Amino acid sequence: MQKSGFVYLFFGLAFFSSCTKENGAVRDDSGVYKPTFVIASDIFPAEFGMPNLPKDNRLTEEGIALGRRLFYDPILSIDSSISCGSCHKQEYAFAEPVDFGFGFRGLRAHRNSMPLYNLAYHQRFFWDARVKTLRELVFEPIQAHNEMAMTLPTLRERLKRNKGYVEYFKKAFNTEPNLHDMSLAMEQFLLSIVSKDSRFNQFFPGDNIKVLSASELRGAFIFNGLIDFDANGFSKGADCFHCHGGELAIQLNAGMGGIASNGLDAVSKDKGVGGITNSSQDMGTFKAPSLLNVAVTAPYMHDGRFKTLEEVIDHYSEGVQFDNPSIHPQMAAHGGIQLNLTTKQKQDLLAYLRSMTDSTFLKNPAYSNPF
Amino acid sequence: MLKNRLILPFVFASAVMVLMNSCEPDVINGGDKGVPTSELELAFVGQIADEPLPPKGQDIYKEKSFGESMMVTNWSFLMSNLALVKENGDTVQLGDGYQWADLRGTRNVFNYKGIPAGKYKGLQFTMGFDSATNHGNPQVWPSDHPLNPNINGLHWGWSGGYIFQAMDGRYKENADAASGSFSFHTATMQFVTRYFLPLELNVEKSKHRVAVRINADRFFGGAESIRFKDKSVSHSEGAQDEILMRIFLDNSLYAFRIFEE
Repeated sequence: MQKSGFVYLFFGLAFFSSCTKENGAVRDDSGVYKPTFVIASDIFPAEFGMPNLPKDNRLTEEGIALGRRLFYDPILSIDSSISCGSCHKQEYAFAEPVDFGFGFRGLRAHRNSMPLYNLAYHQRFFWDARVKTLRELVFEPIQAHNEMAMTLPTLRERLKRNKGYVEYFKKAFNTEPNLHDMSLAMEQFLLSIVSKDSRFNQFFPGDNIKVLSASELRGAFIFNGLIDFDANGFSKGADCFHCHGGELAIQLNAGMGGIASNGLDAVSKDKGVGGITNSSQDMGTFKAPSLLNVAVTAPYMHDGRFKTLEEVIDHYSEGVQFDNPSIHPQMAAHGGIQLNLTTKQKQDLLAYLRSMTDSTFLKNPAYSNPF
Repeated sequence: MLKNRLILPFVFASAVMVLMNSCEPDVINGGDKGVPTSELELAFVGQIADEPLPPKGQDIYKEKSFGESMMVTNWSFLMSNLALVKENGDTVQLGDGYQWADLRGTRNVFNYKGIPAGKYKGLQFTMGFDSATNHGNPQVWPSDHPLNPNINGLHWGWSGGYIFQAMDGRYKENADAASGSFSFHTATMQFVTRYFLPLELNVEKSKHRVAVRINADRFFGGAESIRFKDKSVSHSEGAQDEILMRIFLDNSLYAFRIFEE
């Protein structure tokens, strides 16, 4: 009994201590700012599971707030004209409605802006999957000559001279403005962006059929490859779920379709992942994006070639270039035969894709421009 | 090298395929107190025709039966009941018994501590799970657990259940032919498969390394062979898919070899 008493006392103290830390005051007695740790389960829904968050960059309210400010602040670009938010607009799920974004002096980005949400679950970033952490990611558009064209020494000095950032960095990290903590703050903000309230998410894993219309449900069957069987008994269906499956509507395992060629061209002009790995198998392959909010992220594909979801569906139905040597086995799995969906099937699939829009997320003030 | 010996030329029909709802053997976690323990490094290595898979990204096709050649681009599988089997039939469960081996990725070597000293006669595992696990909420698993779908990417999604094994790749009928694709995804309870790999292992050193080498080509050549030209896809659902998957798994009994290295 005595032993267990000590155990209870120990855990009681540990719990009390941790509570104090989690809910730490903004400023302690010595005047030092203490960040307010964010409880991960308050951000990430149980339905998604807990993401593998970076252990050396715990989410704090102050860190997220700083990251959000930096995300929307044009002083991160060389001429203070462009922020990250210029090409990643919340109302478009942090994508933008142009094929290639406009950067410094009107120069164009090389690829279509990817949407930004649920990134805490992703293991690689950019269309060519070249970056594995968000803290690395943020430096790329900032320094790209055709995007924000900033130099790091200039940015460091600019942040240091800004009284607001002196205060914000102190609150978040108890440091002067510096580029490392800048990247950590932006990582925190990006990690905190969650889209979870679409009707698709309410429907998932498939037992709440009331939230979808009959057409959307039929679309779900097509999407998940559950319709019909051909005359030989082989399964058909559009099989979209292989690369865009699960509640996050994305395949996170690269080998299972997380990185794939979807047969856009017989020969890809853009090397995609192959440009990073130099592997012939990777030429023209790209990271498969999540389809949550896909109805608002037009135009589509890495080069924004498809202006509408109808065009996207047409591609997968009858436009796949099976000659592409890197085409994903799942795409070519049925002997190189086009799906040839009927008009009705296309409409149903479109309806299902539109059920993935999370209008709450698109207007969530926690992610909006603070300026 | 002396210890790199083949225990058996093939995994015999001692590898058995049964449904998960059959009896489970007793499982011992860590063994008896006071018994010295060792560390086990367990590696799962993909091969074609007894040679390692070519490095990822290289366009190298290896010959399989019937003159076709193949290249594996994706291959991973989920295990439960992973355990060493003692000579008396008792088992020492490895970790929590679950594992995900990604033979084309970086997650295929696993370390287990606390393996009790003694003589063992084999390694067992089940490719797949019991029904409750297979159809339960996959998000209950911690973020780094092999069954977390965000880690393994092997959950069917809303229709429920896991893909127990996914093997995808490309093939050529002959050297001059254009390549085609093959895709075999094992799923649904009827295809839960139990394997027993015979191994004479005397655990006495501080660390032992055991390698399970798995030949992809043998999944397609056996009592009944699979010619990609004729049949190259099975998702385990639908009459023809199921027949094909059964052949694939029957052949898999001869695909595993186990060594102490």
